[in-house]
Amino acid sequence: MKKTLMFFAALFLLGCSDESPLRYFLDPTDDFTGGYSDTYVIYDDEIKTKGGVQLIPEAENQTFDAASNERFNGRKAIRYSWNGGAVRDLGTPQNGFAGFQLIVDLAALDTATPPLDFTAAGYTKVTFYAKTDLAPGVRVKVEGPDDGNKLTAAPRINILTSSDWTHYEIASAAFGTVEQYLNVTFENTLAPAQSGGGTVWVDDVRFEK
Amino acid sequence: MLQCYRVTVLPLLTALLLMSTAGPILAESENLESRTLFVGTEVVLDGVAHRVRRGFSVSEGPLAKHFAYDPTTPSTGWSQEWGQTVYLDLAARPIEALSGELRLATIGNYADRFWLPVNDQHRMEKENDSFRWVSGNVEYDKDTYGVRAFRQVGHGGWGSEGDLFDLMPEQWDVDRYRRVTGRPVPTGVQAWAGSESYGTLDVMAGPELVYTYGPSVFTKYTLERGKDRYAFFYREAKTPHYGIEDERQRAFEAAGRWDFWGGNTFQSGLLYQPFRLNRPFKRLEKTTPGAGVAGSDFLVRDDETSTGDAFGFSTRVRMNAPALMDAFSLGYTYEGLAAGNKHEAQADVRRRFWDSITGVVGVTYRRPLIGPVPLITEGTAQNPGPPIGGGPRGPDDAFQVTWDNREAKIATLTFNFDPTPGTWLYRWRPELLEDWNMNPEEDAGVSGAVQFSMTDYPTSTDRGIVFDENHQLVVEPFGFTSLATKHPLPSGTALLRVIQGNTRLLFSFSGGQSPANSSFAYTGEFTGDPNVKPLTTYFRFGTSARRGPLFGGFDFARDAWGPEDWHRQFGEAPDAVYQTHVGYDFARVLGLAQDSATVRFDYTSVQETDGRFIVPELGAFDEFRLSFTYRFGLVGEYAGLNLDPRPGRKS
Repeated sequence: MKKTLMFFAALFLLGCSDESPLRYFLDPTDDFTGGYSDTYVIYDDEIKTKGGVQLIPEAENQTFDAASNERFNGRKAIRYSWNGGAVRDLGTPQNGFAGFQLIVDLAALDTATPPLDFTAAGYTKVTFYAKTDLAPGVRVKVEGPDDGNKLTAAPRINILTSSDWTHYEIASAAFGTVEQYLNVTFENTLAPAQSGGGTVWVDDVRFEK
Repeated sequence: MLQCYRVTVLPLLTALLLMSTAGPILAESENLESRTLFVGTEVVLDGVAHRVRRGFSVSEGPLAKHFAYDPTTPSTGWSQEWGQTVYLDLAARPIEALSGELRLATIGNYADRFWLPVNDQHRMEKENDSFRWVSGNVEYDKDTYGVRAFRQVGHGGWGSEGDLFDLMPEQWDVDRYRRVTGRPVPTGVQAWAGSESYGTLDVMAGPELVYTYGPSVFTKYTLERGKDRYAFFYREAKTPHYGIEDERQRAFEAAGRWDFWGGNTFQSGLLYQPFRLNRPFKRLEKTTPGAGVAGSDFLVRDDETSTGDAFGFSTRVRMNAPALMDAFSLGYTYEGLAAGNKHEAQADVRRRFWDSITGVVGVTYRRPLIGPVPLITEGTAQNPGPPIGGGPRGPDDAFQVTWDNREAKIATLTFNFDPTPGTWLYRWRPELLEDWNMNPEEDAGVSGAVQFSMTDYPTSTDRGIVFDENHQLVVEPFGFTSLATKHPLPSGTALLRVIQGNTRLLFSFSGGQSPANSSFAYTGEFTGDPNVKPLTTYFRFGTSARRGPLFGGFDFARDAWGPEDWHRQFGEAPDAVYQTHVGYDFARVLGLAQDSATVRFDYTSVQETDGRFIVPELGAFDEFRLSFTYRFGLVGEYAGLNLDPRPGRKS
């Protein structure tokens, strides 16, 4: 009985510990290979990074689904829609553009130093599949990767209006410092007139050597 | 007759609300005699007063609260609300074979509370829904066949009928299912037919026969020959563990149980579960250090599930062995990749010491056939690339390693003290030390149990799904995993029950280390979220007492997981929770049965002491609750509606 009471008393005291509970686990986040293989899959059925997604410039009048059943292959794809309605940019409603970014780290957005540097990885291009359903006057610009510096444009392509899945490649991608893996932006060429927006589906986003 | 009943019942209900001398009666129609009906009501009046403690402010979520922490925030003042809930129970047995029952609920106001705010009264108020059909059952039962339709009526699992793979888990916690989801679970229809000679066929179908499952069909056929039993089971269900729409999981099981050498049993079963066959998957294979992918120690192998992966096998033997021990049991289960992906071996030994103490040692070893994809990342810590092999598998993959099949070593030592073994110490499951599982019929003056466990998880998991506080299904985040433990985690529980005269006391102690059971709780280091923790070292103490009409209790928990499932999944443990209650049962004063008229006072205090690992849904608060519950009803003869306030149970 005495030992039993001592056991529970010890637990009571241990409960006050300030040390991180992670010390009780084998933490594999210390395990890094040092090298990079030929492909970095950014999206395939799900976003395969820890960073997640951000709608730009704000989240109004847009929907983002990372698990759409309308896919190129596999089981899921990205589906993004903008209804053409006003989206605030620095607090000012506008309907000239909207889009989404696959980001590296939400906490590191717009910081002075981008969170990743892929110079050593040796990737040379971004590839993906996409199809669109766009209102008149709307075009889709895809950039990637982006270091977040607004003064220097990231490598980009405009994708076509197509109801069929089409393979795209950003061949001149610059893999230095990276804040966003991929940016997809709808541009309303009719602005300031409001357009009907549109929808884009994106699948199999990869960095390749 | 039926017409007469319909016309008369409404004014009768009104009269019932005004009657105070009627005796309390259970509403279950199975307790009614033929040609009788039951009308009953339960009235619950409650008042809640609470305040948010210093350092927190509270805002409303869909149902749960959201507490924001700022150490400079002053304590709020007290606020109070009153609530009223009335339940109406109807039951009838017009003929011996046909019976039915119904429970409806209506609320006046909802007394908003901080403790367990996810509840159905809260949901009704939010949805502006005053009435709820809570539960119901209509059953036609002849000796050799029967049929019924049910809504929020619990049922047992198939384990006691020979199911070795838990195809049909038991579903008794119906109030919690309703409270958390707002849905009536289980709900469905059932039909059965059979005889001793030809066996019994039993079919159940419904939109949610098992908590969180989608539309399902469960079928079983059992045949007994002497003490031997043969059974076939079939399950077709949309299970919640997978993300693909309209995907269904089918499983077939054939099982048998045989008695041998007088009182010993041998069970064996075969499972076939063709789920996600011919589906590609990746596994990592250890190689020469540095010779693997991107300079790692691992090669990535592509493979595919096949028909052979759909099979499983299980066998168990239980024997009496008086020479060395009183009894022992051994069990082994194999489940192919598509059937569950695991080996599991279990053994336990039971021995009685003197007349009143029983010792039980149990060990379990489990490991997956193919382990999880470990979280090893290309690149460097400063510039990580993709995880090797895509990282831990997700819910859309061919299979995963989850908490059900992850590698585990579990050892348990239990001592039961029961001087009157004629009445069982446990009510439902042996060696499960929980208040609800202790047999209320136990008559020993002093009885109890002590249990120690050591649990080790030597490897990590893949990723599955969990339900959040809004009962939304969320996938464990990419790139994270429930980690392997460095050493076995200890835990212990002790229960002591004392009965002296008309005084009953129950004391419980428990403590140990408990890991969070989803990878959300292991993300804090990366996301910077200071509130989640993957493991808690906790302590609990509780006592309850009843002496005649007076009852009360006190519970204290330090660093224990919060009260809801998702608190443990998301790694949320408040620093300290104090709870006490005291009440009085007016039954004897009013000449009624126990618990039919009670007043109860509850106090709950959730406290944050160190500003770390804040639980956003619990924060820190003090809350008082005063409740008055009154249950009454009438049983009447069906033909003449001659309602008498008398007990209606069958003897």
